[in-house]
Amino acid sequence: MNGSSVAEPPDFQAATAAAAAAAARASSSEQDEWSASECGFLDPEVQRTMRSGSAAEDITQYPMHGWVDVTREFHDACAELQPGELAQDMLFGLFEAMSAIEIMDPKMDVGMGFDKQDLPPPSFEAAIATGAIKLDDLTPSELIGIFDALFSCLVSWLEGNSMDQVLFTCLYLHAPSQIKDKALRVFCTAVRNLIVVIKNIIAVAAVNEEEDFQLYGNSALLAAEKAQPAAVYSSLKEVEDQLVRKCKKLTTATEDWMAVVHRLRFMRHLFQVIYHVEQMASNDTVDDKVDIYKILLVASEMLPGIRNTLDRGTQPEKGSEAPNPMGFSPRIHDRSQPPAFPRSIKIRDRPASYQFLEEMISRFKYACKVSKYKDYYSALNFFIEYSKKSGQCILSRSVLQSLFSANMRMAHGKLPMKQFLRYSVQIFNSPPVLNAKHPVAADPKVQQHLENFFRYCINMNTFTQFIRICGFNRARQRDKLARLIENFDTIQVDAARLDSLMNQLANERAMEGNEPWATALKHSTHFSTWVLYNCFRAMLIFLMSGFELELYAVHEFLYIYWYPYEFLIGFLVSALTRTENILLAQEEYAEHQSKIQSSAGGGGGGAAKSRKAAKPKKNKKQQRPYRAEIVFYHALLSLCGGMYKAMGALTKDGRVRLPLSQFDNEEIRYNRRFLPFATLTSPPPVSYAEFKNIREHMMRPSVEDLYTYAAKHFDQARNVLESIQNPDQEMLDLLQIARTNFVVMNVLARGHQKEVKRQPEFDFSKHSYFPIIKLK
Amino acid sequence: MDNEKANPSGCPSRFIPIIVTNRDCDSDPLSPGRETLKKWLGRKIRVVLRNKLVLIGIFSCTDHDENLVLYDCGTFVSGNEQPISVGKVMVPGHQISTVAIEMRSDEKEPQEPLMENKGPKTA
Repeated sequence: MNGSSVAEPPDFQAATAAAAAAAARASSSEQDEWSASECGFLDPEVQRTMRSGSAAEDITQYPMHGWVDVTREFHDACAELQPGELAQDMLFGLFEAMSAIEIMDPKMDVGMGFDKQDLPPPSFEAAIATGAIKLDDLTPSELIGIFDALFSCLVSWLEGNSMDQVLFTCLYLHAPSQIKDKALRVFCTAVRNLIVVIKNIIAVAAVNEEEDFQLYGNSALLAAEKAQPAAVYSSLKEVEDQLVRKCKKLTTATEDWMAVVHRLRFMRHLFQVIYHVEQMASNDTVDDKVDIYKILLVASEMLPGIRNTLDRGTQPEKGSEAPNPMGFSPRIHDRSQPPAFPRSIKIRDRPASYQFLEEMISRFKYACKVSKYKDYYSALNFFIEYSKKSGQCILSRSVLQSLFSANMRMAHGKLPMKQFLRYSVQIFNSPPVLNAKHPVAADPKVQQHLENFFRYCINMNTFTQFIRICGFNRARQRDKLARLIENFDTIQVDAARLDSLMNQLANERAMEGNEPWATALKHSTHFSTWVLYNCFRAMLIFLMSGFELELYAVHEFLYIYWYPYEFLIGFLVSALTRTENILLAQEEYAEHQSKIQSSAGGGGGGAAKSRKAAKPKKNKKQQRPYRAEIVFYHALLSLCGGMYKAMGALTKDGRVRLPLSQFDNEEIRYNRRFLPFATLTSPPPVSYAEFKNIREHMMRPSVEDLYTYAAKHFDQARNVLESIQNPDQEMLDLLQIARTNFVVMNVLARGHQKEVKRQPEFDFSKHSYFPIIKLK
Repeated sequence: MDNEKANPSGCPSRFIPIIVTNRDCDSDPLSPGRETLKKWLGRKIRVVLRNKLVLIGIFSCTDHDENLVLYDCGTFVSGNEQPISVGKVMVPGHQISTVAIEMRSDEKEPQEPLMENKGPKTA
């Protein structure tokens, strides 16, 4: 047991792999070896404590040995380094490099302002003592200025800045109870409560990431006065009424006072909505149904009036960082921020802030619509749509999550998730076993299997997670989707097992001579279709989101578009078509049954009800509920095909910049791009070799022919899109893309710019998934 | 274990700071300037910026343009004992006014090649 020969020197253990490798390389030549004593630290222990961050206090002490000026040597030594060469300490790595704050960079360095030898920023008490802020008898113009500035701070906070550095730069917020002016006091109290309530909503919804929102601020500032959100509404109302009465007596400046009243009123409505949402989120049961939508309407009607009176308030001074001349101390919390935190803050200007609030209110209004979507399929569609339109604002996203289901156990605040999913499958493709009135549903065996399946769905969290993921910001959705897709595999297996169990039962019942039960159970693919459909959607969003996030290089476009063209969209279409066919067959069968039963003179309730349950949808869409979606997927299919072949043609034509061969390994890139799909059994992963074969085959025709094929696809897409009645904006945009690319492909097929092998420009400004190809 | 205790004073443990470089020849001995930098890396450094801010931290990285990365770096306003912020800092080379390294009094100043360049030597 000779431990000493095994143990590495302690400092060596701390070395990174890179350092160890370098050390191994260096150890061959004696002169590159450095003893610890030569390198500044006698003891490795010292070094370790230095790096552990505990050296922060150390730093504040002046040196133990004295400073030796080496400016000149440093200058000379650095000059010896080549551009791009780094002289770096052993423990210095990419993480250190990335997390360092660039000093004197106005965006990162809060210390920047300090070189002016400023006085320390005044605190609330100091500001009162010096008379910098008034506590009583504020003029309407001063009130308007402070209110507008506070709204700006609120907006800046919601945009991801730290609460301390925006909102709490307002000294009035530090101790609202000391304010004597009633309007100001109530308003400031409302803002403080609003902060608490908004924080709750965002924390409960949990779709925030550090780049969206700073959940943690200096809570001591808030703790000083207790939040009483329930009282805010009435006190705002009270002060409003007082001011209105006052206005009636006044002869001058009534408009100014009314502008104050309008701001208070807007605050009251905004607060009411947000508070109500929070109540819904934190309590499972909300007794009184406050009509949020109506309040939002009122609030949005107030905004134009407020925006018209912006100039009545005191305006921020030119060159000052304070959003309002009185009551703000912009740098007051800079020193209390954690070390890695300093960012310079730019508070939004007033018009932009009200613009933001106006848009936020319309986003809330939009979010209210979620209550219409009672099943998973339509709710998911809504969430995807909402994320596309309102994905930037963290509060809007959180509000939607709260409105739908705060804790993921209940949908719409009352329906347990399991029930919700059950109901959703029923709506999606109406398996007879889920129809409570159908005799087969009463079979205890069937019930047991169903119960197991849905419990599994809930335990795996896959479906609820999909909806939640749509609440995250667009960039984060992608990596979360990657993990979600892997999750789908087990659910798929379970759904397939359930379906086969149903078929097995069908055989048993048929043997028993129970024909209606057997028919109801036979050829059941309901559950696997439902699961697969949702999985395909996640896959498609995952793949296409890479375009939106600009992750793909142009030379990668080919296989990214190829996969949905060759497989994914086809799968989606076939899943939906199969579902439609099942629905139709069931409809016919039910009609048939009800005829038999009604002629038999009664007891036909089951079949008739089942039709009723699915009736509204079917009537509206002429028994083809997924028609519109299938048509849209056809258009996407043609667009993907067009892009795939266009990329093939452009590559063959030498118009796509390819990576230098020594840096290139397409297989790795391919595998990486489709990595989340690799674990799925269905659809089975497509290997790189298979892809290569397919591509080779596709690339065989002449360049001109390839361009022509691509043009044909775009033409098809155009035809499909033109056939859609009442197209929405997205479809119109896609139509324009298809048209333009069709023309471009034809031009290229005719040999335009044959000599110039320039890579065309791919302009994703119209649609985030499909570019307009532009020849330069 | 005994080995470890004996290590610091007796046989020096092999601590190898690395200079990551894109030079072609890894095996060549380091140039004098690089040697000097290697020696300084990991020590406390005091940087005065052109605007008189003082930064004190652990010298972690530098490059041709004298950009510096300091670990555990305190930023001081002159005359103030308390740092206004602490953290990892990147100092752009063009902001630097003077640079000082912490030296033990018994320590020899930068080695031979730079001897003639350098002013007062600590005895």
